[in-house]
Amino acid sequence: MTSTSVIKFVSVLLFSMFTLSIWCQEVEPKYNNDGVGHSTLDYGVKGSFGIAYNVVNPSGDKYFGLAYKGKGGYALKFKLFVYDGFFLGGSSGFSYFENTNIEITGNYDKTRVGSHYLFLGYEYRPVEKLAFNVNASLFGEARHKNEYNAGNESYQIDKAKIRAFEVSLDYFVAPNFSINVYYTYRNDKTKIKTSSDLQSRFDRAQFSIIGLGVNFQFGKEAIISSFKNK
Amino acid sequence: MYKKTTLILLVIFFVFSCEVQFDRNIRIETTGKTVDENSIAIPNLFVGVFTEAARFIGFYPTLNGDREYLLGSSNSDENGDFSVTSLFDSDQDFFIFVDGGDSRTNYIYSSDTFDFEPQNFIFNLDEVSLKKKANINLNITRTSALGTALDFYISYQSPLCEEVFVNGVLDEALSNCNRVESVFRTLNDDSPNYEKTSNSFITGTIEFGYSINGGAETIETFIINQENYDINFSY
Repeated sequence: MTSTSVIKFVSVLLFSMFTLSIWCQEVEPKYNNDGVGHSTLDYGVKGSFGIAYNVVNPSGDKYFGLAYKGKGGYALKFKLFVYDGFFLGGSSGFSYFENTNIEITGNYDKTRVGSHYLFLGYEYRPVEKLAFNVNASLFGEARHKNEYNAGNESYQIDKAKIRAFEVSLDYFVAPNFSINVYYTYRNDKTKIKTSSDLQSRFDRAQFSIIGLGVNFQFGKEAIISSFKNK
Repeated sequence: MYKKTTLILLVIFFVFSCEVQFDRNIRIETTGKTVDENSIAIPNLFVGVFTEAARFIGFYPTLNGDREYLLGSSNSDENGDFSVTSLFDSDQDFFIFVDGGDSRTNYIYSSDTFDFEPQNFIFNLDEVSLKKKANINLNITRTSALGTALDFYISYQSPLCEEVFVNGVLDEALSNCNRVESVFRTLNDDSPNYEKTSNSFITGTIEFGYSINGGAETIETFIINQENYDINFSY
């Protein structure tokens, strides 16, 4: 099974669990002792999904840092809490770069990096309105589409295994809605084959992402504690 | 249903078939040194790695046929050394072009890369000798009496140099580097004089042979030592 197949399989699994958790919500609103009604999103497996705009910054002494200039991007993310504050999630998105030095890279002037990966993380929520998250990629693959100088009529593809480390902060403006800012460091291991002289230039794709987005929260309990309570 | 599926497949084919894709996950390095006819380094010369690929629109190639794509380029440094990082294309028409500019000859390293990847992903061109271009100005005039005929030929080296490599080994038969070109003419009363400028390079050799009125052939050899090399001959 290839890494891409594993990602697809796990993504489908997580998404199925997410869907199942929504279906399993109570239809009738419940009331606490205080008599306040809660929406159906307050029950079942806890998780979130969101969308974010990214500012991307190439870094390091590899070909990204030497030749690329970030042009922005976006990402879709979801996560499900597995146990206590630990969560599993998936991220899918695109980052765009301009190539400013073709002598470093070969002849193409822009690159679109499609990134799809799964991550494992932990959330710490000191107060009701704030949540701190850290996560690291488990596995995933990036596809770099390098478009030729003369236009979109020709291109070349590079692939890389994703290595992502992220810290993020959620500020809850409503119980199920938060503003999310995050910083992601990417140190992807490329599959580029080249001469021994150039190998060290092309073996990694390094860049950082600063993202701003919104997250929608649902559910109340982590998967394991949720099953325990059934 | 069948027609719809066919139509959808055709639309997909038309949309995506216009694009040319180069080899995935590969970068090639091309190294070498540009020198002149005296093995002295020449700085700041363009070196480009190219491929030719047919662009298909639908089932047909474009009217212009194959198109050249630049995969990577660089310039030689002050020592004449160059190192070009480029993409790679598995193609029958893959070549590296060293541009001598207006004053020097060009060089082409040509290779069928359809089933060939260079060892360690390097094309090492070693020393690429780019000679100074020269014009051969041949001027023949008749000073003798009517009825005198001249048979002559002139052979000189072409400035074009394309070396063809098969699996990394030079194939002399397919190559065309400074090949000798010849012109044969007979001058007589109908056309007593001849004037022609041919392109060659400094250090190139010229062989000029002639025979007057069917007599013994005389052969003279010259080595080009200036940009405009004049050969004035009268008979």
